[in-house]
Amino acid sequence: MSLLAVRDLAIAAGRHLLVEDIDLDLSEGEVLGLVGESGSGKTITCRALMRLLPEGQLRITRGSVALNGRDLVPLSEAAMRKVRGVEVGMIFQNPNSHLDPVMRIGDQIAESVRYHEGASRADARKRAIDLLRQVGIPDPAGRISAFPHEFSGGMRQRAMIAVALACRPRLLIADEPTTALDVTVQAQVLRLLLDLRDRLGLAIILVTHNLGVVAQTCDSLAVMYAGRVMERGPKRDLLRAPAHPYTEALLKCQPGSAAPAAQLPAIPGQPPLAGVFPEGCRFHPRCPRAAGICRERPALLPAGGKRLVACHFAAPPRAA
Amino acid sequence: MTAAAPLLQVRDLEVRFRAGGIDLPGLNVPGFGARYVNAVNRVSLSVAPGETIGIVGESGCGKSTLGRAILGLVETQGGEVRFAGDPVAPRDRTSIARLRARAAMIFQDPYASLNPKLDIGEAIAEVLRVHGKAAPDAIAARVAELLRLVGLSPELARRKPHQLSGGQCQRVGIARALAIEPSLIIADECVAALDVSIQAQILNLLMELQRRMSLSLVFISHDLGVVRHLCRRVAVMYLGRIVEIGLTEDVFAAPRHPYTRALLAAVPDIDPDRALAPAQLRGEPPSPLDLPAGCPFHPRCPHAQEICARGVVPELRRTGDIRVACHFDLPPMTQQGEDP
Repeated sequence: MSLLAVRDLAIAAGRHLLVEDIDLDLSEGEVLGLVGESGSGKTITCRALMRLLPEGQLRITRGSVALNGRDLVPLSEAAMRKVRGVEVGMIFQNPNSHLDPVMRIGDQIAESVRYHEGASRADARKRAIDLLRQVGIPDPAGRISAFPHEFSGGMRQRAMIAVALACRPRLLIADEPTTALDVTVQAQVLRLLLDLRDRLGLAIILVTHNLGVVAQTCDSLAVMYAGRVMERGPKRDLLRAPAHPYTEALLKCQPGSAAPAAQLPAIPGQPPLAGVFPEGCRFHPRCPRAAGICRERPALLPAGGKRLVACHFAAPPRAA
Repeated sequence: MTAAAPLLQVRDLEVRFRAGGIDLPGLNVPGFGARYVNAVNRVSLSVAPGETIGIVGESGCGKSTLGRAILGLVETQGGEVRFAGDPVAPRDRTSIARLRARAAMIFQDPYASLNPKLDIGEAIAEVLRVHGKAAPDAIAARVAELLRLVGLSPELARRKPHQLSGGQCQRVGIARALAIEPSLIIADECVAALDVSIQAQILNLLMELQRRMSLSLVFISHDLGVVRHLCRRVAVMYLGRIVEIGLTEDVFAAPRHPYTRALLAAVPDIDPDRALAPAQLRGEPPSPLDLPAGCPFHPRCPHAQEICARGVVPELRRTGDIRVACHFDLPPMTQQGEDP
């Protein structure tokens, strides 16, 4: 059984559906990359998994989020508070806005251990030191009483990972965790995430717009566009032989994939604004293969191997 | 290419910022005197007409400050900028005005660099008026022409920036830069805020405009993939200095400076069969307020020797077609892109 199974999830703002038909699966120790451009719905999908949608603005209208077989959607806020932190940890792009600037790093880690596990002050402190060591902060016993502003950007991201892992969750949701970091520091943080996966068997959902990051860290991949999953499957399959025209176009317009100084095969037009999506396949106004049938909505269907594709022109699965 | 007289020549340029402390002559109490950041430290480079040069480096390396200093947008403390052979006098308004009539800048944040209260037609017309580039009755037509040039419909002239997407705003920023009919454009992270599909459109536009108008382009970016695609030459900066400069293909194929090597190795490759390279550098760049003695890179350098810590700062020296600021001639890298 998979650790996390999302079925038919839909999120709406008022009468506008922003995200729909989201199906995702994740097993122990797996790293799933959630890729897409801004406005594709990857961040609100992650927030919906944790039931962290801004109240009164966005709500889950349909679907289920099963964590270890238990659906999170109908849970009370009190029950969700136990899920967050204990079963699922979360890290974000900007550690500055998610670490308390006037609280010592060690206390921020110990807080959730004391709250969720009722640990003693001394035990929580020991755990905090151990976690800082695990995320590669030098002199953890000394740095435990530092404030976030005393840490560099990369160290803050490490500290936020330590906070997220304080109660030993099985799943880590990482929303653009390296986007604000320099490339040499990004390499360190990605390496750390993979080490934690190997050591702790942690499953990770990695939200990113960077296909290089995906290629180097993920096992499987879900490509989102305009609030839907366009294609999902093992990383290598998608990057080597994309089946959806959007995945293909996204790969082709990377500067590395064309000869230097050659014109890049850019995707014409703009992505649609959230909530005012085109009828049928949402990519069809920009799609080189679009035809009449694309005015009907394609379902996300198996397309051979472990791959699912939402395109009328994707090859049907070969008979086994 | 080297035969052509350079359009832009920068020699030993220095920019220093005050960073706290008390600036009193004669004050000599340790910890209380004014402290300075050498954001740009004796940087020299030249750009030929029609050439594209990339300036790469991590945050805080001084690449943006260098771009701004070239156009006189920040005060410089030393060195010289020559444009089309003439020295630019940073404090002389006519000299700066002459420079900015032929050299323009494109900024990273397309929304922040446009006045939110002006419609975009007005924003472009303003440039034309200030620089006297079009007669008053010809301005509207020229605005429409510039919008078409950057791939926007002239009907958008009535829109305000908030009614446009990020990519469209960046095109407006480019149209404003082109309005002065520049021979040099300094683009500071001008595609960093854009999604990759839109980024490709803007890069295509820049390459096309450059070919058509034989523009020189100084392209400042942290994205090595973009620089590799766009630029003929590249300069790598670390803590205010250029540590390596040469033809892009040479630098990317056989980087000489250990920092360039680490930087290139850290870029995640889109090839799914290449495993994540081991992190090559420990730690993060030191605070520019408190630079280490000797080579500024030595605390993070895997090849550092004693001389790097106590010796002088290594100067740029020529090895082959590349100039590199390192005391050593490192052996070539192995096939996997790792240091032997």
